[in-house]
Amino acid sequence: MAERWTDHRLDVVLADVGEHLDVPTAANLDPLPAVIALPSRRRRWIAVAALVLLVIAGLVVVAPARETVARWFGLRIEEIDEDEAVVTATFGEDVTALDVDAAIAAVALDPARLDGTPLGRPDAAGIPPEGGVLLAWERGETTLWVRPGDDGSIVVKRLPEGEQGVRVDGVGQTAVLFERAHVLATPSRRVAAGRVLWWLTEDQELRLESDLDAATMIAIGAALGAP
Amino acid sequence: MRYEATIRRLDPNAFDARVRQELASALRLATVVLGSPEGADDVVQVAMERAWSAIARYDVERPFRPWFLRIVANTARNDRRRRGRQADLRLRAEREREPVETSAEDVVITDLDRRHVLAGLNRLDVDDRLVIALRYFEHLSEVEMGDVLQCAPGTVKSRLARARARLRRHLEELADG
Repeated sequence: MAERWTDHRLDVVLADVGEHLDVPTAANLDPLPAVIALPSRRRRWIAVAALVLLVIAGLVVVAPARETVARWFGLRIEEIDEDEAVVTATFGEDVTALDVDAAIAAVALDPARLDGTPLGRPDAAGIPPEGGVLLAWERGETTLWVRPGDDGSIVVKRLPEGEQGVRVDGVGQTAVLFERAHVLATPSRRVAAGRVLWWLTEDQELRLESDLDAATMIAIGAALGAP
Repeated sequence: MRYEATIRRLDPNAFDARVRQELASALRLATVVLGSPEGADDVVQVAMERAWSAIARYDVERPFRPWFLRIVANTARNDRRRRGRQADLRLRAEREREPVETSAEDVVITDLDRRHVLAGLNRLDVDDRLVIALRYFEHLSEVEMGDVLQCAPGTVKSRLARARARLRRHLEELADG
């Protein structure tokens, strides 16, 4: 029997078996651009879980930093300023570029709705380390982060002492506005963040961060989050 | 535009096209790790999404194929752990109608040979099956296998040798029994 299964013979038969193994075909696999915009029940539940965590995190007393992102790890600073670092930290070198049109299509946003907002067409797009798609506008140093919600990342906001998000009606299914700068904590990073409108739709979680005034941001959110 | 200095161009359609070049390997690898073709396509679909989510961490200086196959293998492992099923690899049905074949190296391969080897593979644990599949089914180099298995090429070599030895023992037992 040892002669029957020589090294050479075993190699040849193994390779043959690999070629003729019963495996599924690729025909049933969905194209990725369609999949990443796909709604699912699990995404919905995780998005709801993220909302719960966010509200809980709003009660956590955390003194945020005002200097470099590195100092945010200490969580023992006195006050927060909306300085340059607050904005630039949200779109850093860890963001991978994406074609703007492809990004809009990937998150199933209606380009006509975007054009109808004060923002218009995004100036850039990318993928942050946590996944999802990030759209960016020079106007108001604005970013819109769209996440499917089932990528395993839970995003937590840590607010300055006494600060809480404000529920906003008319934007998506559930929306919260954070007026002041705060810490955005994810499994990938912990960064400073500015004014944010955060909302849920049927299958997505959207986070609009901008220097634009709150009323304008809510109007944008209402336009994008409408059925 | 200040963002453009810090970001690389990528598009989901291009990524999808690149991944599709690896789907045959991905489906085979998922099947080997799961131990059967059932659910292998679901595993690969999930792996595609995970790869897309992780693309920001992909090192473009390194080959794509082992990186993607590693995600496939890990996704399949997780799925297998959850389901806890026994290995039941099998040949495509049409092969059963061509019981004897001569390979390019003039080694006559019978259907019985294939069935014995497959039975031997089904007796191996998932780690052994995976290392054998990477080498003999996907024809990866030791360096590429190391990328998939996240170990040094020297470790790959010893793991492959041990897996082959165990497979050979199973083949001998099958022949004796």
